[in-house]
Amino acid sequence: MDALLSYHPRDFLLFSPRVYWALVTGNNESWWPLAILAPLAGVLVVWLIARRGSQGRRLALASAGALWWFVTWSFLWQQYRAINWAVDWAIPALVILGALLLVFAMTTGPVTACRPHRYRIGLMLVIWGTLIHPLGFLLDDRRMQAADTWLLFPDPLALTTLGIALTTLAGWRLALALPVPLLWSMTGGATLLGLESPIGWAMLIAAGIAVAGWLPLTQSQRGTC
Amino acid sequence: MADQWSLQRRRLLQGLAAGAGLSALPFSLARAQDSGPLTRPLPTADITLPTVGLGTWITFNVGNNQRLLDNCADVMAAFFEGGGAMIDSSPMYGSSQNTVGYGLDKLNAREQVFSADKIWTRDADQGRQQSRESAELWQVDRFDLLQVHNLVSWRAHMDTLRAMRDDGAVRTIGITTSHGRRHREVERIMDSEPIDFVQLTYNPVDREAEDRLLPLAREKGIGVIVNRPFRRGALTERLASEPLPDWAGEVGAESWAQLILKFILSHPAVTCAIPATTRVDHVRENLAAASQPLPDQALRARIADTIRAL
Ligand SMILES: NC(=O)c1ccc[n+]([C@@H]2O[C@H](COP(=O)([O-])OP(=O)(O)OC[C@H]3O[C@@H](n4cnc5c(N)ncnc54)[C@H](OP(=O)(O)O)[C@@H]3O)[C@@H](O)[C@H]2O)c1
Repeated sequence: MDALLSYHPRDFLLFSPRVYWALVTGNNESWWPLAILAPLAGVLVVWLIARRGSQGRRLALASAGALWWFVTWSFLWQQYRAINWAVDWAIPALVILGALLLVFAMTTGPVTACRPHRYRIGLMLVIWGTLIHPLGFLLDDRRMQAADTWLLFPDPLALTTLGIALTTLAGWRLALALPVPLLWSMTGGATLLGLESPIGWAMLIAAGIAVAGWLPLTQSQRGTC
Repeated sequence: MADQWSLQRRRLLQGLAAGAGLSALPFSLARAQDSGPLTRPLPTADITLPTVGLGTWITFNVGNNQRLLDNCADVMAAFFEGGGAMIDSSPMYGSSQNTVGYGLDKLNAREQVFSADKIWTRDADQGRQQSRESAELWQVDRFDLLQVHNLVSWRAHMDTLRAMRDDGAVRTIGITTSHGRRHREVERIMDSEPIDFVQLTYNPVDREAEDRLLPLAREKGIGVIVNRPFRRGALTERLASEPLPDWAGEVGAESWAQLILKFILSHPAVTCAIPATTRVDHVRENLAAASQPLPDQALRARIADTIRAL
């Protein structure tokens, strides 16, 4: 225990903020203009979910699934892995998550019942992941070019995925879809705190809120919320 | 690898030491060359090392970013220009080994480096293979020093390292720890295993090593490499806003970093300290601290008391 207490959060990180945000900036440049299209895509997903049609829900799920494959390949595999070998453990789980979301997108039927608190929390998480999280650059030393958006980076994508899952899935499908983005939000949040970025707290809180969304805190209502 | 510089410097050192009567001292200190850093001999091998080396944890883990790779190569260039030799890395440090390899290649500095790397795997059979992969990343034929990182599976790796040293696949071997952890086990290994180096944390606030490990290293003729001299920057950051006391000038220290390094190097058991940095000015400043005069007992106590109190 004493040995564990002798560590500082940043002792668990292999890299410095300077290097991580340089990596983010470089990735934004490589995939330009996805970084500026991301908030627009976020608004579109919020609209799709708010419309409550089953096609929109499927599209939101499919986009999250495809994005996990894209982000895992383009950022985690091609770039982040070079500075953080620990991500090797996460990559298979993220690939499976992408596949799972794509399968759910093809197979889920229309919503017949939902819990109001779950829906509201889910919608809030989608807004948080797609529109608010990237503004984290305002809270630390980063420039806008190092803003991390949900189309390109796993942290905001994990928050968005939690939101999409809570608003579009139920039962065992929801139980299968939540653990990986939850775990990513927690480790991502801890990593950001290690990088001395206060937005890490927001990620940890969001993970807690997502768990609250999952719990059956309100009665399930027939029809859509 | 490091043969050339060590031999040249050793001759120079012997000449200087004899001339100055330094060989009569219990622990001889001398400058290897007029402008270079102080050097110290390793008792178990025919090696003399500059007393300030270069760490690579965090600072050299820059991935494939070309600008940052070149920045690290600049740090290495200043390090070698200033007479530095030992660079320490590990398979645990992300892309740091690759960065060192990039720098050595770019600077054509394989002859200047004293390459210190580590075995870091729980798999007892993987030690040799991992060291080969590490050497490829460093772009060197063999390492000057291989250490068991944080004592991970040390018994098995120690067998491998001893065999490698016997084969000439590595020049020297050792173990590492940090943050004052597992000192009892380190002591047992130092007592029972024929190691050339022990790497541990030592600075004016982390002084546990003074109790047993440093005296034992002296007794056994084991070289001591000091990691975390600045507590990974926390110490220098904390002191940055404090004025440097006037008496720091007595040992020629012009910054807190230099005062800390001079404190470390003034312990007679220490062979070298390996501060890590991303900055060319810092690497120069650190190397410049490897110079006489070093603090005596009274000044050492004053440095430690002052820094602890701030
Ligand atoms: N168990 C093990 O085997 C083990 C454990 C820990 C460390 N190590 C080795 O020991 C090396 C050193 O330890 P460390 O990297 O943890 O910490 P450290 O050397 O105590 O501190 C590094 C920090 O000090 C700052 N610094 C360097 N020179 C400075 C100066 N002249 N003035 C002000 N700040 C200065 C650097 O910032 P700038 O970039 O701004 O200069 C850097 O962030 C490691 O890199 C690693 O190779 C081994």
